[in-house]
Amino acid sequence: MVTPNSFLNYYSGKLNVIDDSNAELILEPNEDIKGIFKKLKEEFGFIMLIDIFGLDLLKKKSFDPQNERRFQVVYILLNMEMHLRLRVVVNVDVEKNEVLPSCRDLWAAAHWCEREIWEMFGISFGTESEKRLLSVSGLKGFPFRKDFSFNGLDESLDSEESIFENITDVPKYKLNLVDSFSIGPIHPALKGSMKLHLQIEGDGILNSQLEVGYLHRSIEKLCEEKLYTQIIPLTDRLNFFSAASNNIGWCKAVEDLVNIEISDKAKAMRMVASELARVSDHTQCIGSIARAVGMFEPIQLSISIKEIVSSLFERLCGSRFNSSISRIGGMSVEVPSGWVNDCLTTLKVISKKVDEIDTHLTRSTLWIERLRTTTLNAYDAIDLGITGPNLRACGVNYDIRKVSPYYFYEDVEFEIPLGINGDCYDRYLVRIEEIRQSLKIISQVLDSLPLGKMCVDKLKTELDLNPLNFAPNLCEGYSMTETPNGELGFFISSDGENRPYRVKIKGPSFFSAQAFSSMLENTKVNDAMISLCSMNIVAGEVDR
Amino acid sequence: MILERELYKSIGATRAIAKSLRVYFVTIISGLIKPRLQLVTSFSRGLPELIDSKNCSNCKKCELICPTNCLSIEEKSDQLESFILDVSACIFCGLCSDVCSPKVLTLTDHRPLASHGESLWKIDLMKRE
Ligand code: SF4
Ligand code: SF4
Repeated sequence: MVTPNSFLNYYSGKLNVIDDSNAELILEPNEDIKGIFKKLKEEFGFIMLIDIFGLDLLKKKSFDPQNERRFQVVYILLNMEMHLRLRVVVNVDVEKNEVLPSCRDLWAAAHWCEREIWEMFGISFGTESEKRLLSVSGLKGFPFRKDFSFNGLDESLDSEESIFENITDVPKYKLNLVDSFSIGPIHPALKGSMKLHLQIEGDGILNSQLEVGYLHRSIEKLCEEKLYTQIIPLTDRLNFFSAASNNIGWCKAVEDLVNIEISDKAKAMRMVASELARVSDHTQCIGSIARAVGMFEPIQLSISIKEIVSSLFERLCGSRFNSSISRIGGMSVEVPSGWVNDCLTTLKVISKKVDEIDTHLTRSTLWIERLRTTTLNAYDAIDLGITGPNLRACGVNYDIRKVSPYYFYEDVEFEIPLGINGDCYDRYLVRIEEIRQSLKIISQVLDSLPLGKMCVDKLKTELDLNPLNFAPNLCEGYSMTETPNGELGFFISSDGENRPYRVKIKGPSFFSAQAFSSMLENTKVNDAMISLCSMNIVAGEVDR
Repeated sequence: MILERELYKSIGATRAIAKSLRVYFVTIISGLIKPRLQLVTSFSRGLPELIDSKNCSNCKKCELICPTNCLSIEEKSDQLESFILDVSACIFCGLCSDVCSPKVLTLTDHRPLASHGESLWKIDLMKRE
C-alpha cells in the first residue's frame, strides 16, 4: 500500500512540497523520464494525467541562457486515492534536438496534449506527435514561443491528407459498403464548430475522428498581453453556456496565486452563480440530446429553464450570457435587493420543470433504447483524462467540490450522482440529478447568505488590487474548479508584471473530445449525434 | 408540427394525440396572451455613457482597462476634446465603469444592434450628454 509518506520519502531530495495535496518534481531530460513516469503510475498510483503543457522561459527575468534550458514541459498528474497532485517539470533544449519520450502508452490522454505542444512550441515527442491539431497547416514557426512573429502561411505545406487509411481486412463482397464522409463543421446544437469524420460500413461506424481547431482564438497567447482583469471577459468565451463558472475559475486561480481571501458573501454568491451556470449548462445538454433523438417537449422545457436562469443572471449582473460576473477580490456587482427572494421562488419553478423533463424522458422506452450506446468504461475514462459528469457516469466518484472543497462546499449538503454503465443514458441521468443537487446547494446557500459586501476594497493583502496595477510577485501555480463539464484548471506563471507570463487553460472538453474520437467505433451512424451531444463537447473550451 | 412518428412509438397513439393537441392549443393561446419577448430590459448592461464630462479627470484609466480598445480619449491643453467609443467593438463588460473613480462613466441599458452607415459605429460620448 502506498501512503503519502512512502511517496514523499522516495523522492525526498528532489520533491518540492507545495502544500498538503500538491508537490513538484523537477527532472532533466538526460534522466530516465519514461522510467520515472512508469514508476509514478504503477507504484505510486498517479493513474490520471490532468494536463501537459509547455513553457518558454526566454523572456523570464531570471532566465540565464548559458546555463539553463530554454523550454519546460510540465505534466500534471493526479493520484485519485490520496488526492495528491504532482507537477513534474522537465527542462528541454530544443536547439540540441532533444526529443522527449511520448507517454501515450502510459496515459492515452497525452496524445493530443503532445500534439498541441509540438505545434505551439516545437518540442517533439516523436513522429506521432508531429501533426497539427489546432492551428492551420502551413503556419511557419511555433506561435507560443516568445520570439514568434507571424510572417505568412506556407502554401506548399497546405496539402490535403486523407484522414482514414484504406481498409484491408474487410471481405471483398462488403467493400462497396465501405464509405467515408464528414459532418460539420457546424455543430447541430450550436456548441461551436467541429468536424466529425466517419468511415462506415453500411450504417455501422468503423473509424471516426473529430477534427477540432475551427474555433481556435489562441486565448492563452492573448492572455499574455492582457491585464489580469482584462482576461475575465476572455474566459466568458471558453464554455459559453456557463460563462459565470469560467469567470469564477479564473478569479479563484488568480486569488490562489497571490493568497487573497475574499469576503464570505462573495464566496457564497460565487457558489450560487456557478451552480446556476451548471443548471443552465446541463439543461442545455439534455435539450440537445433530446433534439438529436427527436423528442420535442423536453427541448421546450430545457429552453424555458435556460430562459429562467438567464433572466436571473440578467437581474444579477446585467448580462444574460457573457456575464463577466466576478472580479479579482470579489464580484462585479452587489446583490440587487429582492434578487434572493426571486431566486428562491424561481428555484421551485425550475425544479418543477426538471421533474417534468424527468417524467418525459427517464422511463420512455424510445429514449432508453436510443441512449444505450457509446459505452465508456471507467478504466478508459481515467486513462483518457475525462473529468466531470462524463467521468461520474462511468461510476468514478471524483468531484472537486467534494475532494478538495473550495468556498463553502464543505458546509452544504449535497450528493454526487454516479452512473454504472457509462453510456449516454447514464450521462443523461447524472446530469439531471446534478441539476437537482445544484438547486439544493443554491437554496442552502441563499438561506444562510452571509452579511457584508461582495466587492470589498480592503482585503488583507499587500498587493495593489487596482485592476491597472495588480501584479502578483514572482510565482506560479495551478488552480482548478469544478465547472459543468468537469475540471477547469488555470496554470498561471507570473514574472512580477501586471500581465501574466504564461497562462494555460485546462478545458475539460478538450479531453472529452479526444476520447470521443475513439469512442464511436462499432456503433451506428444515427447514434453519432446523440453521443456527441451527450458528451457535451463545447468547441470554445476545446480550441481555446 | 409535433406529430412525430417517434413520439407515437414512445408513448402510444392516444397519449401522443392528446399531448400534441395540448401543445398546439397552449402555444396558440400563450402566443396571444403573453407579451412579446423583450430583448433588452432595464437591468441589461449596455453601452457606456459619460454622465458628466466636466468632472472627468482625464485619467485615461478607462482607455487603458478596456479589453477591446474601443475607447479613445483626446485632450487639448488638459481639456477633454473628444471621447470616442467604437460601438461595434464594445462588449458591454463594464470594466471601464469599474475603474472610473469619479464615477462619471456608467453603463446604460442601450444596446444598438444595427446602424445606417459605417461611420455611425463611432460615437462621441461628449456630444451625447
Ligand atoms: S464596456 Fe468594456 S468593452 Fe465597452 S468601453 Fe467599457 S471597457 Fe470597453
Ligand atoms: S476613467 Fe473616468 S475620469 Fe478617468 S478618463 Fe475615463 S471617464 Fe474620465
